[in-house]
Amino acid sequence: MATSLQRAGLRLTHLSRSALISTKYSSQADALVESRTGEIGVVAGIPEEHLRRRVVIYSPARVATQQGAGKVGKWKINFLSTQKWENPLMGWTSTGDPYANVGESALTFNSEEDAKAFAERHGWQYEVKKRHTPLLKPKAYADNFKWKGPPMQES
Amino acid sequence: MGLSSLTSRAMIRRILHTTTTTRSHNFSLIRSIVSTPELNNTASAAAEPTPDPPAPPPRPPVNNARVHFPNPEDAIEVFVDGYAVKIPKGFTVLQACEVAGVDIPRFCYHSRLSIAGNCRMCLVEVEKSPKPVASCAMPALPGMKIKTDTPIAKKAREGVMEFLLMNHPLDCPICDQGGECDLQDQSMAFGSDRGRFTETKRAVVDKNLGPLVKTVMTRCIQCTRCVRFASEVAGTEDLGMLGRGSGEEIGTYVEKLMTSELSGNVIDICPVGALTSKPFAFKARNWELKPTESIDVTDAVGSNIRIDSRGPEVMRIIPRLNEDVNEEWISDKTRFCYDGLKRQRLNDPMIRGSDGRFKAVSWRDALDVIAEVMHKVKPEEIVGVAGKLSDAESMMALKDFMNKMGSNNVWCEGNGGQPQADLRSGYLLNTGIADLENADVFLLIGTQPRVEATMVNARIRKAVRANHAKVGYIGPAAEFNYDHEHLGTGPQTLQELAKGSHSFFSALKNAKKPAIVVGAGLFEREDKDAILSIVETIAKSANVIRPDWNGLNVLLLNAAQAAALDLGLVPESDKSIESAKFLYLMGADDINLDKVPSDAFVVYQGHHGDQSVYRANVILPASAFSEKEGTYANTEGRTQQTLPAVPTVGDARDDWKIIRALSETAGISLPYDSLIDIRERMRTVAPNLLSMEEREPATYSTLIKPEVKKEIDPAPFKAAIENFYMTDAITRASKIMAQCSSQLLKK
Amino acid sequence: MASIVRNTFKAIKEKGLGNFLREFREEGYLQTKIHNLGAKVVGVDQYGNKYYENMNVQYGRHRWVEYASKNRYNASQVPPEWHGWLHYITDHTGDEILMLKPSRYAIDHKENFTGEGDEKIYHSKGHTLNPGQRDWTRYQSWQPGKS
Repeated sequence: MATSLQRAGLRLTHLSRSALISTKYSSQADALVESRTGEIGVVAGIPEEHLRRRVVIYSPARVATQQGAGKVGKWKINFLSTQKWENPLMGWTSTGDPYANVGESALTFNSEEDAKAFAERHGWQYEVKKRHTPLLKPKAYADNFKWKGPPMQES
Repeated sequence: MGLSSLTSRAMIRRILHTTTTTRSHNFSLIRSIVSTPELNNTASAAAEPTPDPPAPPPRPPVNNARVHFPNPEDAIEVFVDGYAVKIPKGFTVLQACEVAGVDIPRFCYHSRLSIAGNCRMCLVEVEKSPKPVASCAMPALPGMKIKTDTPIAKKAREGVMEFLLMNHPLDCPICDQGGECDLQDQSMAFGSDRGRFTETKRAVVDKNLGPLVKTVMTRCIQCTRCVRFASEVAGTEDLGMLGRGSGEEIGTYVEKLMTSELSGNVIDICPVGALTSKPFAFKARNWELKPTESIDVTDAVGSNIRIDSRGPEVMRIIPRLNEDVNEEWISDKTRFCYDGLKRQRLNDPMIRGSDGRFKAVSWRDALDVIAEVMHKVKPEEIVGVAGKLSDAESMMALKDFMNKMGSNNVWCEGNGGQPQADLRSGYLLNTGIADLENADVFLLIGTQPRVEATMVNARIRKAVRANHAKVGYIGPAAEFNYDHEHLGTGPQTLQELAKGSHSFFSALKNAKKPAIVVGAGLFEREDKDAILSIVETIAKSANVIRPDWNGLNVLLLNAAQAAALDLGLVPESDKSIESAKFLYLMGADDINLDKVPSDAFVVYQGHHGDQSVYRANVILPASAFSEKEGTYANTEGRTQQTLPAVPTVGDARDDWKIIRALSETAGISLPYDSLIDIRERMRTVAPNLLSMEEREPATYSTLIKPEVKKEIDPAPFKAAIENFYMTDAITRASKIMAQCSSQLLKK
Repeated sequence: MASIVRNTFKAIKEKGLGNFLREFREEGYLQTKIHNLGAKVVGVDQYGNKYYENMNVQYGRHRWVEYASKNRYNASQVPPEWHGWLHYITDHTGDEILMLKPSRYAIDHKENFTGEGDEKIYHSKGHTLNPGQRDWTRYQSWQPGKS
């Protein structure tokens, strides 16, 4: 008897807490904190010159050497960071750009809008590249055995 | 007695317990076994089957693929792992699973090749089928229930994997395909953890396929993808399967090299490390490479590539999917020219001293010298020539600068003396590369697409195979990888066709979708306008140009030509070089410098010390296509953009930035300072160059042009490209291209 | 002590007293000479180090080297072919092992030059003080020929 009362009480508190939570984070638009373009960069301590970058947002194509499509469909930001040189002592690649490896390895987005929002929040000028997708056409094994037409006349 | 009494007593106790406790509360600590008459009644269960669980949410197709429905009414519905998908009628089970978002492992199936069905890795279970079904070959029937994750399918995959690995050598550490190997990934995902093979493995002797494709045939799993590629897409039936059973070998049987210009694509197609890239052998692993999506500029097609670089160096170039331009293939020149980006590079500004030798100077000095000379020369003696590999931004800057200095003699290499830039349809591939595969009659005039634009040739071959398209060719005798009729070698054949007396004319007239392809090599002829006028007459009388289908195409040779004509790089007079006193060559290496007067001041701005450098007075190092963000328009008018993958070499700068700096030194600054600004300037001249990756077809066809009645030179058409592997500054500097041209060209 | 006396008498018996006394006076490094009495010179390497072996001495101390440079010597001056013999790893002497040294790619032995100055110590391939400093640029620039 007591246990059932306790459980009912717990259930009530769970409900109320979830209701509160849902109202707080129901939508980005009426979030408690709104961020303007480029503001996050300033707050995050990113240096000025890196807040004025130009970036390219794209969806990387499937790598041609394999048929696997597991990584297809992600969106990435290409920071156009080619300021690299060979370190004269050991020949290793040195760079002065903190965003050198960020775009390629660490930062992926699930949709184009997410990537655009991220770039906007940091104040970067972005350009979005169209995503190319393959076109599936009907194929049949029987095509191997279809009649291919009369033999071509050799001129 | 004892046991049975015990059990019976336990049962009694349990039954007593259940009757008392079931009704009290749900949170009982002892889970009771409830058995009521309704639940025990199997007859009612059969009459009303338990309702299916709610349908799972739909998943996107594998690769985010688009599905082509030839007849939308003919769509059928199949069920893949419980998901219902609508597919067109002719789809296979594997394609249906792809649409449903399930990626079925496969080795021999490739979406652009014919179906072989010999690897058996794609086996899935289909309800009501006695054995697992090869999904790549089985057509999907309406209402089929396909299950890809059942024990039968998994056991089939493990078995196939075990068989494949039996004869496969333990080469992973030394194999170039490691890290991007289908066999590795699929054995991890679908194979079993142990094998049972204790015999000796077989080995196969390696075949020599040329300087581009490295073969280790022991690793071959006999999927026959390379055989099908060579015979279907490339058109050369080089490769075949010899032998039977475990003694099967893929080879050429005779000691033959793969001379096809698409031979590099078998490297991508091969799922294992049997066929790999010879220049890239042992150079890098794929996980240490940084990919950059870019565009190829060695020809006018603008194939989409992915440049893999490691640090400051380009390691390899592989294709990127673009259904409209190059599908998944690139030509050998595109794939292996990266070698030339590391040799013969210009990295410092140089001025030729009075002793005739070059001396490296600083940028400021070089620009000062040039500005000084420019002001001394009269405006009509200033000439600017853009090169084959120039991007639209730099050509815009060059034209603006030259115009501000008072000169109107700016043109791009390869467009001939008096290029016609008024009507875009006069210099573009109006049909579009993708639509060329729907044509059923081709008339190729003065163009050998196989060496000029390999991907366009691949499309023509696709049309020939699919639609049995007839191909008529006018020009010097050349190698084609599809059946064609050699109609003639010169303008006489054209005149016959225009009169309607040639036998091929009827084929052209009766075709549903005829395509005439004129080569840009004709631009160099003196009677170019007359010849193009005759071609337009043919097009008009054969009804090639229609509102929905413009079949009159021009196949350009260089990556810069289309953008140059869009931006209006048309010289005022075609004899300007003979009277030039100041010549600004922006990457122009194929221009004939014999006619330049010996006292002319020549500035060469480019990235390779190729041919024009030797006549130059000042050298300004610029960046190559892999180092700059440049806009290129391909031969069909599609605007695409390269992205920088590696840093510029030495002290080199972007082309348009050099011209902007020069303009400031000369005192007449150009009004743009950043890429955005120069693109805005381009928008005022040619707004189609701003719509990235979109193809802007020409608005007016050449039907509105008046006819030109001029003398036609009866000289036969010449081949525009003699050596496929050495066409521009980058390929001429490349060692791999030199090897190819010495070993692979037909002598 | 007793071994030294015994060895002295043996040497006098072998060489004769006059020769023995003359050698004694001329060459110096008396302690070493006394130690080397009764020891056999197994070999001399290209740097001048002499390798001695004396089987009548305590096992584990029966092989030693007398360096060529008597004041600036260190253990790294022993070349690899003699190192094995000297440290009782093998019985093959240095001249035997020297025959196995590959002539095509083997380089000469260098002693450990740590602390000896910038000309002698090791510098990595791209270091400025490396005489053959390597240029790491991954491209080859165009060289203007003779106009």
